[in-house]
Amino acid sequence: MTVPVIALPAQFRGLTLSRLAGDVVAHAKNGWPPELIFDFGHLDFIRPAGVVFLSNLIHWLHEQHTTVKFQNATRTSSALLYLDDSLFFEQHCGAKVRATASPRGTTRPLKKIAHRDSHAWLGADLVPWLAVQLRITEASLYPFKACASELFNNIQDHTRYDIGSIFVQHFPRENGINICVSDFGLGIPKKVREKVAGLSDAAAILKAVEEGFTTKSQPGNQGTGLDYLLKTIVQANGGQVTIYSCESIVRFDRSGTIIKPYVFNNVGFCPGTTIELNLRTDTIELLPEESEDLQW
Amino acid sequence: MVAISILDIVGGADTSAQGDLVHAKLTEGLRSSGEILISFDGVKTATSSFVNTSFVKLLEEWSLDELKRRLRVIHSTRQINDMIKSRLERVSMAHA
Repeated sequence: MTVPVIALPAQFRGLTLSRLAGDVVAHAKNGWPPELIFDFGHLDFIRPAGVVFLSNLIHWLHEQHTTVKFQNATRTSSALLYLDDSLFFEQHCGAKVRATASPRGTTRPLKKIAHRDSHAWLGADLVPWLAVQLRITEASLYPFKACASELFNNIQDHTRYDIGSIFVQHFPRENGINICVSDFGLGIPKKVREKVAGLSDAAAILKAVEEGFTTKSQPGNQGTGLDYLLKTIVQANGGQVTIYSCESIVRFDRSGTIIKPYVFNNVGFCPGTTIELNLRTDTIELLPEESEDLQW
Repeated sequence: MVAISILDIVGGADTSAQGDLVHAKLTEGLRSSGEILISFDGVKTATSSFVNTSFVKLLEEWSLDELKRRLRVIHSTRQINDMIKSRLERVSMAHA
């Protein structure tokens, strides 16, 4: 049996993420192949969401009992150097391609993290690192830490796996922080359709972010986590949230004072869910470190 | 007055499991005492899952006005305070 070879596109970002996974799924029409090769020969550019998405796809393929191998991964290109510095190859091959590869100062490298460890990591690693990067107080970043915590709670609540992947990059020249979190669970649309049958993937994602909508998989779920995320990152910060799940991508932007969704249908496939948070660093409200009492 | 330290009881305000334990303490305190002092000293953020299970569930037994009178949240952060206030007010309004 011929081993399928899936070529990564030159630009691995945005819609090309789901297209790649769609190509992978196309090879599974008659069952999952025992082995599959990703060819990095054409890859020239990759964004943080691409790193997390690809990593998540590989974990998911392992769940289907498919062994994943890499081809042309030792080629010297900026994208491959970036992947190596992101510790992508260390996670998936057991070793870095270059001995000198190491996480860049503007990133928190790719990390596979269990829900039980996620909140402590966000507080003890990510927030202090971001505060130093941005030269602001940690208190100014608490709303965004809470957003990331909501995502890890969602992973635990809605998937049978208690694990997610995260990668974070600061883009100083773009005044932006990119936080990507992914899981290889059932995916938001399938989970939503357990409660509201018949919704398309995109409609199910839109339903999932409605305030008050919940699949009630845990007692604490009252349909507030994703709504808080959109209000904090899109409405208040003016950033962007993109949700990739199953066969749809929905991006949320601020338009005036409202949160506006942009839907991309039938774009390929995303195993589980990948959520990309793009924060603006120039609109973060600066807060003092002092504690405060609640004023009703 | 009953005093509760979130850090000592559950170590953080991240999950609904932590919220459940805090809810039990708050319920016990509200049934037996006048006012409850809730300290978030050492805790920096609270998720909606935590607040839904710890604070919002109290609305099944007590009104928002009564909770405002009897719960004092101290050594907290803006994020935690906003989450508690907005969740309680939102749910209380929906039930009104």
